[in-house]
Amino acid sequence: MSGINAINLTKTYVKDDERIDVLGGIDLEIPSGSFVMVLGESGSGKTTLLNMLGALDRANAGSIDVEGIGDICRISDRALSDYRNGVVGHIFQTFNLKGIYTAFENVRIPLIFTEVSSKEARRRITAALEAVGLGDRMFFRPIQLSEGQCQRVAIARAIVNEPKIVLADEPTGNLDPKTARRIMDLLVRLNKERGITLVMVTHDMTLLDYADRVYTLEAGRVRENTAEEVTAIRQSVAVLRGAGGT
Amino acid sequence: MRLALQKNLAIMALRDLLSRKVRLVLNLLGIVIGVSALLFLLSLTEGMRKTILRELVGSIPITELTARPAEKEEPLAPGTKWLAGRMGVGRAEDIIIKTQLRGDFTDETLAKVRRIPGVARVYGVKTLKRVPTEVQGWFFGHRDVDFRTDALVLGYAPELLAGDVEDLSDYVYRPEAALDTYPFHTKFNDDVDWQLLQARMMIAEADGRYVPAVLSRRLVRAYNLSFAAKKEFELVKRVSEKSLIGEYIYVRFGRSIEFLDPQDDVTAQGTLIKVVGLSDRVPMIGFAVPPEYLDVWEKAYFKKPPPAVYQQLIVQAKSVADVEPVRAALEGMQMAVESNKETIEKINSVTTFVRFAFVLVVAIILGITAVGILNVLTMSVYEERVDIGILRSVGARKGHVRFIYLLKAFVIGLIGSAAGLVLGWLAMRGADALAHNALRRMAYAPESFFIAQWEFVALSVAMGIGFAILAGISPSNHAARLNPSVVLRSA
Repeated sequence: MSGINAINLTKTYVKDDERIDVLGGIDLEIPSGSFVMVLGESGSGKTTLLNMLGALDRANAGSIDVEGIGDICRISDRALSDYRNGVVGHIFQTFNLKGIYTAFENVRIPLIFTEVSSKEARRRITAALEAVGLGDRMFFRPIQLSEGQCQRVAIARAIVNEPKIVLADEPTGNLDPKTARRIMDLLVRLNKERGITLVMVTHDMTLLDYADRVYTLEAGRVRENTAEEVTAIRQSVAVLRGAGGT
Repeated sequence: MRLALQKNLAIMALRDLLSRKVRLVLNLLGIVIGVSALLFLLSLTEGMRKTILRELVGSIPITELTARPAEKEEPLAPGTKWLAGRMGVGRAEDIIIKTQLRGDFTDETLAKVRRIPGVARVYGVKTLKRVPTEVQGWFFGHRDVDFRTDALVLGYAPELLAGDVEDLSDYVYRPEAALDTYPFHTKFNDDVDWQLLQARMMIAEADGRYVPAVLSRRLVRAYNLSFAAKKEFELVKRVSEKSLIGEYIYVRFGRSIEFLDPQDDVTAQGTLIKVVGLSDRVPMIGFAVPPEYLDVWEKAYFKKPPPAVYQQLIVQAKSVADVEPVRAALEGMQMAVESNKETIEKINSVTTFVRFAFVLVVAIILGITAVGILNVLTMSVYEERVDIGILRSVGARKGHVRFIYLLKAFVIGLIGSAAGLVLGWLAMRGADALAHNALRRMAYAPESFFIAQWEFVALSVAMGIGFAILAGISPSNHAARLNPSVVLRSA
């Protein structure tokens, strides 16, 4: 099948002789082109799961089949680099931009490792920055941009190689609610217009409206929330909003 | 790795380095000092080696041996000690060959030596040992340079002076110039003699009536560094080797500064010699002429043909390996043999040892510098760990990350080495200026105390870059092994 299919995904850390099971045999199915949100409290293993899917870390056991290219838990380090370069794009909570580079140069980084001509690279960078609404800020450094604009640069960097999957780790965590909404609107637009599979982890329940599917991570286990559960959560959030909460 | 990718990673590494300029300069300092010190010290040893070799050996090849009859040593030639003291150049033996009055070799001896295995060529050298020879008067056409001394005259075949005489066709026997018909007086100080000498020189130049002679190269240096430095002659302060070519000197036979009081007014037969070259083979107070002249001068002095004998042999071995067997064979023929091989080898081995010691010292300096670079690069890897994580997250392989950090180390080594070469060159020029100022009156002071060879430059740069890269290996491996998920979480 296309999309992401994780089976019995296990990740264990050992700290001070203590064994910590972060992911205890997770099965996960994410259809191609969907927008999946993974909820969970801090320390529940959301980022670890995302790192497994994005091949930034290796699982202790289990398999992950992505877009029919095979089990990424079993491929070589070089093949993993190619996977990170061409198949997935990462968006981080802290943007992770290089401060001495302009927006254009930051977006160009993934293309360094791709065999494209400089002309094609320029075209892709310009298109990516225009897609996130920064066509007029291409040669600004991060210090000259707002936080929302920095995150948009990071999104442009994630999509510049035209990946099939974008993995976003708390992309709105450092942003004010208004900017967060704009970023979410942008991500949804990319998901719909480009058919990119979007997997986003967050603990912000107010963003549930954007997702096609919602998973919850608890005690190293993942569970897909039913439509009723999602509706209930949305209603709870609406009540909280009405009471002045977020 | 693709060229375009290498270029992009190199640009990335350079921009990272330049974004922390103070750190870069601190990293460079050690390399700059190490490379400049190495170039300075190696060039100094080469300068020392060349100076010592030049003074002790000159341009005489390592395969050459000089043989003289192995007889009891005779006393020094008359006037030698006086000259040595006057010129301040050290031992009297350095001025005139002390064995000049030893016995003779015959053509038969030459033939025997030619048959020794390993001998390439043999030259018999005549010395005008039986005829007192005096040079006196105005040297090099300058009335100001006026002194008299005994000289040793040698008959050298043109082949022996091939590298010393620019135009060998000028170094030929001219019978009409062998003896001058005008007998100058011993007291060589009046205007009439001066004008006559000037006229004689003009005739010699116009008609080619001169004896071509080759002087000692060491004499020129000694003159410049003793007489000229002491300002004994007002007009002629310094002479160059080139400026002496073409100058004339008047020589008289049957005269000696030891035999007659300079005030005695006695006439003697003489000739005008013209300087056509300078050689390390010629003794300091003496000159070499084509061998035919010696027969003419001896005949004129003794009024009968001279015997066909030689006072020394110059023997050229076929190879360096033949030098020792040939020496042994010559010594077996009751000859006293001198060769430069041992001297050159001793000087070279001492120089090699000193160089090795210097390289070792600089290696220690660069080693300490490398530890500093290793520290700073390790710190950089820690500070840039998120950047490394980003690179890995967008597709950089471990090798790409390793390349970036090794390249940074290489660039530090390259820039440091280039700056070190410049600093080393400036230091050499500065040290030369200081040394010449301090040692202005030192005999044999070379034009430069430093000889920088391409090998030294290459070694200095190679060590500078090599140590920097060595320092970069551990940090670059560490950077390549960083787990992107861990470092990105630390952001």
